[in-house]
Amino acid sequence: MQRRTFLKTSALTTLGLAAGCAPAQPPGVIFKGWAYEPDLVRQNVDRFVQQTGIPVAYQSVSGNYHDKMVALFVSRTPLDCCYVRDDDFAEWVEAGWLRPYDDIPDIDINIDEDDIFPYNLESMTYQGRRYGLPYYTDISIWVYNHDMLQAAGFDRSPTTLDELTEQAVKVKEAGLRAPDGLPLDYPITLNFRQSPTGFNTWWALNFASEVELFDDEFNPIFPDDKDQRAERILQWLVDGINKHRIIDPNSLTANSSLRYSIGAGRQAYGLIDKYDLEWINNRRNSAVVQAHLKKRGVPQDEQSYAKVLRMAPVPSLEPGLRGTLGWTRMYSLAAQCRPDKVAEAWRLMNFLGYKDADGDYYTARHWFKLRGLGFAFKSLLDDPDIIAQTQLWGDVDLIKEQANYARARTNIMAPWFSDFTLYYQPEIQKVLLGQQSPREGLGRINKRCRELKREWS
Amino acid sequence: MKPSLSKRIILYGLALLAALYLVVPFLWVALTSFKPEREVSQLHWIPQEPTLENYALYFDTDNRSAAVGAAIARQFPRAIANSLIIGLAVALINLFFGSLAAYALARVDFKGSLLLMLFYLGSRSVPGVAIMIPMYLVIRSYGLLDTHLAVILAHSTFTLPFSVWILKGYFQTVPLELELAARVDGCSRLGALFRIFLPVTTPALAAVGIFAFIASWGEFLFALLFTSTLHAKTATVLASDFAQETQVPFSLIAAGGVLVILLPIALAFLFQRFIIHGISGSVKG
Amino acid sequence: MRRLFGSMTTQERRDHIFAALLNLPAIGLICALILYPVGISLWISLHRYNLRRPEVFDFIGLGNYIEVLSGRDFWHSLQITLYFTAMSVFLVILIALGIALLFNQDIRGRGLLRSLLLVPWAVPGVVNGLMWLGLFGKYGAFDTMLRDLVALTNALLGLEIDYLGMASPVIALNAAITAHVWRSVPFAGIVFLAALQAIPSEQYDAAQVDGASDWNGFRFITLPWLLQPIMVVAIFETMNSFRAFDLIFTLTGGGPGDSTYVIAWQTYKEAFARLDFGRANAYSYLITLITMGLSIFYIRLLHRRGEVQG
Repeated sequence: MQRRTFLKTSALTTLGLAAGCAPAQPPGVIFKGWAYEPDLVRQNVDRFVQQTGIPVAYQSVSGNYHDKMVALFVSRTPLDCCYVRDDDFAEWVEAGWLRPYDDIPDIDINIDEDDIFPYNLESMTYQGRRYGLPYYTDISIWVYNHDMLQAAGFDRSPTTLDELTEQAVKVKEAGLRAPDGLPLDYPITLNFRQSPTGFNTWWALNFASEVELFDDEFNPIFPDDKDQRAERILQWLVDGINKHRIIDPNSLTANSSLRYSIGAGRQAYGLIDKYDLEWINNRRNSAVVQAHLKKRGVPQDEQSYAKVLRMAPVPSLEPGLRGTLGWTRMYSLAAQCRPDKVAEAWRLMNFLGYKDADGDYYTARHWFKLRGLGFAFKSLLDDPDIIAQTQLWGDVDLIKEQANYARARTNIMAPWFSDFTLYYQPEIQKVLLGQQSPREGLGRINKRCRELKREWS
Repeated sequence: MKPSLSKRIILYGLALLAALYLVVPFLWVALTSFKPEREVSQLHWIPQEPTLENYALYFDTDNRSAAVGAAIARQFPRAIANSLIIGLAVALINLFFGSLAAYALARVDFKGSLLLMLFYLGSRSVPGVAIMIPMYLVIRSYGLLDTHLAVILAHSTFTLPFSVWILKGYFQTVPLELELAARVDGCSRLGALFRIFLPVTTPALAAVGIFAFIASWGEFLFALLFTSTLHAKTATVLASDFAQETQVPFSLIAAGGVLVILLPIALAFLFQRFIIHGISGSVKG
Repeated sequence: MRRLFGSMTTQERRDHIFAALLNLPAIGLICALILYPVGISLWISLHRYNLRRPEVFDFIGLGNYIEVLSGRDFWHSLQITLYFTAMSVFLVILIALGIALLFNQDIRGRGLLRSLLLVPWAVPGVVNGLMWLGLFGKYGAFDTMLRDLVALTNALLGLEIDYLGMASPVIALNAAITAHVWRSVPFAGIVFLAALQAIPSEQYDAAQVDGASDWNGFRFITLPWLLQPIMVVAIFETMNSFRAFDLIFTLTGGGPGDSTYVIAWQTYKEAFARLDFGRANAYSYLITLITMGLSIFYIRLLHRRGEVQG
């Protein structure tokens, strides 16, 4: 091959590759979210386009959403509107990546804030400015396997932690087995896997005992909070894992596999995300429900759900205390939203996160219908269709009650929240592993919180 | 001299153990891919109600299946195509540029060559996490985000050092007389390289090409970083979509895992002789 | 130009330029995509830069490095990483060598066995992590297989041990090592297999004529030949282990506690969870320095044995 030909060919090839490769920038509002059910999201987006005529370029983001978005924001890749988790909210506002919607000229903000649950509203507001509208929201709930409890001689799950210990020990000793034959070694399963959005269990248990972890200025109060409740709850957990052996040590590593575990009949009690209950009580997914329905001779196509796993309030240290954790996933405008697209992006957000052109909470309703995802709007809980559907697998009254007293993580609005998350999770795991006492662990977390607060003031 | 019977029994026994070690962990994944969702977290390895429904979702281009994860599964054929394009391109780049660099290092004795080898090697010691964001910025500034080229370039930088090392070793074993004869006949230097030299080194080239392809096929961190739409998304990135989506049953992920390794395994099976021959020639040098 | 090429003949000079040109594309690619980001990375590591306070970009020289080196986190993760790396390198070489020796023998189905060698490598990283979780985790494959054995031991010795799965720091770390080693064996195995094939059979024949035993044959012929490949595998494997990250991501998430906080994971956390890019880059530089130092150490070892041509 002649040298000249060689050089020419390589140059042409390189040009060809570079030219033919980049995809064209699509028109419309650039909207991104994590890769949960992108087809369903597209359906909702198409409905918006149909009703308003505004084009939208939707993309689902693969991989770790948070990390990918950080890269996107830092490099100022075009973006108008995106999903945001409440755990990242404060961080992203502080970094200057989100844009509030309460100062867009010429638009009509017609949000009935009374119809939104307080903990949701708080999670979407930062220092008085409004940023987000809800995508979905949910709460932590306590469930127990009714069939198993009955087999061990009990009717329902107890309300206090001490009673729970007693009952769980007896359930363990009853020698029950899962449908596939595995014995019930640890009746209770919780979620203590390290993750930026994790440790729902710890927060839910604290809220259920009405523990105040931080004051209004995000100063840490534990371990000397009222009646040392935070410490006592940790102690209960430690005893549950190591002394009585009623809490599954796998709780330290399980995440969403919690629902698989409960559905397979490995445990009799669990603290789960509410929308998982719809999955667990469905015979298609859950061995315990399938076994339950088979035993009663109910054919496959006649009934899908059975309330084998039932809801109960999250157990607390003392009777009369109640509470639980709630979290919010929202839509928000990006700070790098193109100025000529702001109004349109807002309309998209409004449609998906609030009401459609017909004045109906269409999108929220749609998500609930298809996947059982929770919503932030109080009035939907009185909707007859929604009630009917929920009754198939859950307890509507209890859900209503809990949604009203659910709280978001106390210091979620602190700019140092993710640093805090990074620190407290391994420390609590060390307590659970017996590597340090609850008081020591809480003490160290307290110290770190103070350092972080100083760093960020 | 044939080894004794007892020796052969031990040998076959050990070989079987080795094969089990290599295969059994994945066997579990393969078996799970045939389980219905309900059986995923149950004890038994062998599905009690084996089904092909997990695989069906991957080729189900029309049906708007309501199953969780179906949307991702349907992107699969396109993702495999992307992986193929990228893998082939990376292999070609490694072959072409790797040969050039290795030839220079093998044939020309210049002072900087050890330093150059260290440079190539050293580029492998940088942790991906460190250069992720700057690399992202570079790719973005060239307008290459979400293109095949970005991933091809990134993968090439990771695979070139090894390719150059292998090829250099092999090239050093080829007798100089070959090119000298060609030059005497009036061939240019590059001409001798392409027409006379490289054909002789086919085993090493095959080895390097396949290694580069498989390495690119399995890479996921940078493919994930640089692609966002189906335009350039690779199969391994699709697999990670699953892992992030906590609601997707492992049986579906398992089916995806099986589909993703089929091609590399087939390649390995067909070309294992070449691969080993190529690398062995290199080590001899 | 004159100083650069010293006292060389024209031909030699042309050769050098030719060689440089041929290497240019490869060097160019690596420079653009790796060297340049690495440069930026170094620059950032000398500043205080946290994304949550993007306006602040103060030059603090080695401030980040001092902070990192004087904190507990770095040494803790270094310790874990050194254990992880040492075990991985050792096990990879051991297992891959064993497999290579086996698959080099004259047995039936040798071709099939050799292609099986590439299976672990072809498994995508994410699937790999989830797979090992399914094997090592509680209620996973190992748990169910060992259940009866554990019950028996408990009964006999009056103990109450239980398979904790990934909730046990010891199991978690060693599970990560097992998963990593499994994935790294193919590469090492192929290199060793190729090296074994390169040994001229005449050497063995000669040894046999001299009445040498199998073991001596191994010791005096095979092993010296394998020395260089072993070194090369050691280098690549050390670098890979130090950089091990996506496995930790899917398998343990750093836990339980902080028992699998390898240094690449720590770096990742600094960069993406704390958004402290200054410190994260300081971490990565330290990793790079350590791995480069180790590779130079290996290479000099090779040099001394006269195995590497310049």
